[in-house]
Amino acid sequence: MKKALYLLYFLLATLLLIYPAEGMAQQTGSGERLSVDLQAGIRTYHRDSLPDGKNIDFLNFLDTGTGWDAFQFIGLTVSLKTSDRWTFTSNLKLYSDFGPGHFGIASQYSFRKACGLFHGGLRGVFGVSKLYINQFNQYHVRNDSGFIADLNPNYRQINLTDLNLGVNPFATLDTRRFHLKLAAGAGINLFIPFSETIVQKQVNGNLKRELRYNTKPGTAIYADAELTARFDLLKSEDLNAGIMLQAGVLFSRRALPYLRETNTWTYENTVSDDIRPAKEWFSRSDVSMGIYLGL
Amino acid sequence: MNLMFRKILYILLLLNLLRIIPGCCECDETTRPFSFNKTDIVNLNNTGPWPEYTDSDTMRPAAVAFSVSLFDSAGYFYAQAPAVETFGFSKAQAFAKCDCAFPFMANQHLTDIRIESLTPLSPDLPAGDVSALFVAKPTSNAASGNLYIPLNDLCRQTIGKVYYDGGIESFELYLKTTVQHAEVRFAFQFTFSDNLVLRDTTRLITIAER
Repeated sequence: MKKALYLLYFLLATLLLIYPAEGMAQQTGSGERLSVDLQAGIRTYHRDSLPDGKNIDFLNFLDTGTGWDAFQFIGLTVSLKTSDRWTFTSNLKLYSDFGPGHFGIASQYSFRKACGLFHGGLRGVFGVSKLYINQFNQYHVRNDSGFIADLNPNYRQINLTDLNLGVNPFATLDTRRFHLKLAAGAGINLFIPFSETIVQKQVNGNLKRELRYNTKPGTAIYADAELTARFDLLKSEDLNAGIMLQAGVLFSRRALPYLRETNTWTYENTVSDDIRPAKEWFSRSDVSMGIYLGL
Repeated sequence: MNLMFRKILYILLLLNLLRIIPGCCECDETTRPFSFNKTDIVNLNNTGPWPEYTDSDTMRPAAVAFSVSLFDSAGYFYAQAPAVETFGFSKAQAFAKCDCAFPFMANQHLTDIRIESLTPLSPDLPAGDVSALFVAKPTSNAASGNLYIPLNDLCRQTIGKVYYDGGIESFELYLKTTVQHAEVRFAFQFTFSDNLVLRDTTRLITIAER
């Protein structure tokens, strides 16, 4: 369902970009440029996996507790330059399971004044990314001695959805065939809350308890940077095509706070704890290369 | 003529679709009355993740548990009901004959469960009323939640209860405390809304550390 939703968003955004392009091209005759690029790359998330504390820290379980979560992806980006100043972009990354792993939209405003070969501007970005928290129940397996730590025998995986909204000033260097763009900025990111339940039972005993985790967004400020290099292999008035290289990084100090409700024996006396793990450095990096076609 | 034939075929197709769409059996949902008048107690082995029925009379000190069934001695566990027949163009259905069972509703409901220990449980817990030390878990398909419920909640759940799985009220009783005595035995007393009281006693349970 989630995959379908991502694809729907992407298709809608793409249609929104393409249809006005055709319409406006007819009205104005020129000025709009549509660009499509296809890339293959790798995305990694990193957040140090810290020693177990008094309470579970879900971010310790990015990719089974190694601190790294890595995804190969195929990325498709559609950009529409509606005028010399405005460009709108939608971007979809499919992970190796061909499930949508990232969806992003951006609107870019270019300043009129140029400084030699350099141009500048401002870009607003919104992105939705997916990462995994795996086997978080291992915290309880390691720490809750005397208990069958999790009565759920299934592989415990959480799809963690990360949203980011930010602003990036950017600078471009454009020569006849080579185009370089550097964007760097800041924004806010947050995790979509989720709920998980752990049911435990005393070994050789009747005692049962249930831990219900309801996470909070964990809103944080981030800083990011992105470098894009394009080289035109084909270039004419109506068409340009070439190869590209893109690299991006995002840094933030993040935590995943949650409300934990503990019930022992029955649901009569619920104990609620507001847990706020300490913020730790969290990073996301992308490296990709591919081809592009501009019309 | 050809057009007329196609129209008739189309109408027949629509009628057959109407047969398939509501293709479930229609069963008589009228409840059948029954009365609780018999009890059955089975020992549970609750050392692992899930309780299991056991013939053994040995239990771990912190895992004393029993399965209790209350039912009608006449044995109304299943009563086949006739399917509701409709006249005329009948519906399509998966089975040649509908497997309908009457739901049951007891003439009375539980109002109280009293559990008495016939032996001391520990130096602090002499023989006597230990109802407060027990929790319950309903075992019917409608039971929800991962934890136990207090005994009075279990009683409340039997008010107006419709028994779709047969006329048996079954639940499990778990002792919350650790037994520090070599042998224990419990007497259960179930009181119903019509003042009927059913009593039953567990077998003598040997408490073993291993």
